[in-house]
Amino acid sequence: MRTLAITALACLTLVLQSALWRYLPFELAAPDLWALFAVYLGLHAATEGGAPVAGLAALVIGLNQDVLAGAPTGLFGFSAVAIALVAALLSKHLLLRGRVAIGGTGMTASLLGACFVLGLLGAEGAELRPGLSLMAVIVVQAFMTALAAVPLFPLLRRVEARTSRQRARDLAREGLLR
Amino acid sequence: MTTVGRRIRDGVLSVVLLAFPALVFHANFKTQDSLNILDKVVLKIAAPLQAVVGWAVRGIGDTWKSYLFLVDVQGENQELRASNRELRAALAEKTRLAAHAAHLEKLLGLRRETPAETVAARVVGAKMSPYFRVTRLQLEDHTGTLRENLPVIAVAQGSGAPGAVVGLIHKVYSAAGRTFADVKLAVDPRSKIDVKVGVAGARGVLRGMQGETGYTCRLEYVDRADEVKVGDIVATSGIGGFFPPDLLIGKVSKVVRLDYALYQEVEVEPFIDFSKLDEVLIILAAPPPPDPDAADKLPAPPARGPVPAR
Repeated sequence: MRTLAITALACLTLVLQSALWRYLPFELAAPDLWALFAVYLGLHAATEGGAPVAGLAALVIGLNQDVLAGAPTGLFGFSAVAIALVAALLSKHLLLRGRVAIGGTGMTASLLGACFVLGLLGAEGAELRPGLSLMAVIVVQAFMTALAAVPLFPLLRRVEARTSRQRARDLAREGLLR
Repeated sequence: MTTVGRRIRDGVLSVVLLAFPALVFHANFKTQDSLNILDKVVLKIAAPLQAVVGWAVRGIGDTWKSYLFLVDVQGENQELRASNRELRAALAEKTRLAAHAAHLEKLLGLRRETPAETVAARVVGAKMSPYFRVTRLQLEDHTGTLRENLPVIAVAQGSGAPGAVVGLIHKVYSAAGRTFADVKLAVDPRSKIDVKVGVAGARGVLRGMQGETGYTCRLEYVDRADEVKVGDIVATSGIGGFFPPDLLIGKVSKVVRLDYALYQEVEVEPFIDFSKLDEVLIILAAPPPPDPDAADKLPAPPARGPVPAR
């Protein structure tokens, strides 16, 4: 239920982002919200279904991002699943407390997502020119993702708390749920 | 299920989950232009949602922009109105000052042309009575020589005449350190000015018309045999001692010559617009009489040098 709610919220947020972001002045450097949702699902995988459920939810989110971004289907799907699985693997060793930790996680997720995307594109033989400008965009995008993670993660915790059982709800409220 | 089994299951599922999008991507990468089923499903849901969100955002944005535009326009409008008011006031003030300067220039010209000592005075009030036509003056500078029965003249606006008779000083008094004088206007019923009319020089006495709303006067004692016609210029005759001769007063506006009467009934329209009187000149002293021997007098011989033979 939690995962479903977060997945639905992620899809809606991505649609809203694709519709609204172009009205903002920094259109090129949009935060990788899909990566944030994927990493959050991965970090909280242990409480509901484990890594496969988180991966499946991340896959839905990634495929949604593929369509919305106009990318070849599966590009962001693969990256989202990969991020979610990596996060699920590391979840037992991570405790996100404080804005810096959340922002750093968001930035890492964005950079990781960029690596997966570029890697997949490179594996398919896509002509990539990862010059300085692309690198600059990736870095700015990671920074924007870090900024977006700071309010998004507490929001997702609240959603999670509302849709969880009492014990998980308490833990989610405390921010201890992993 | 044991932990190991669960781990194996999770591992397999993770690989499947990674493999699925990778394969889909591999399959779609070369044929990106065609939409697959997943694309169609997601687009069918997302596209209308995006359109609605875009429409709402555009609507809100347009409304907000319109509001801001209107706010700007309103502010700009207020500024322009205020600026316009200030400019109009400044223009009105400049126009008034220009008219005043022109009037003063004419008054100065009249003063130069008047062969008598004069002093300027400003009209500060008029006594509101249908029976008497009196204007109150305040002197620009107190000369100390002001007295009753001094003639007052002014620039005749729009009449073509340089200056014309206003009236006679009626009362002189001081108040709050200033000198004031009441002028009995030429159109006052109590005013009597000996005048001559037209080129023929018909004589008569000018009096104000009592009870009339306008500033008009009539000529009395104009012999019915004298030739007087509408448009003739009326000027002072100099008889009576108050007014110097040949000061313009007005022009004849109506002539009625009755068969049985001794005198003609003549109405005179003054050159002065008494309702707009602003500045006047008070003639303090009459010009010196012309020297009858002036033609015979020669200039004094030079103190040095040859003296011309007579």
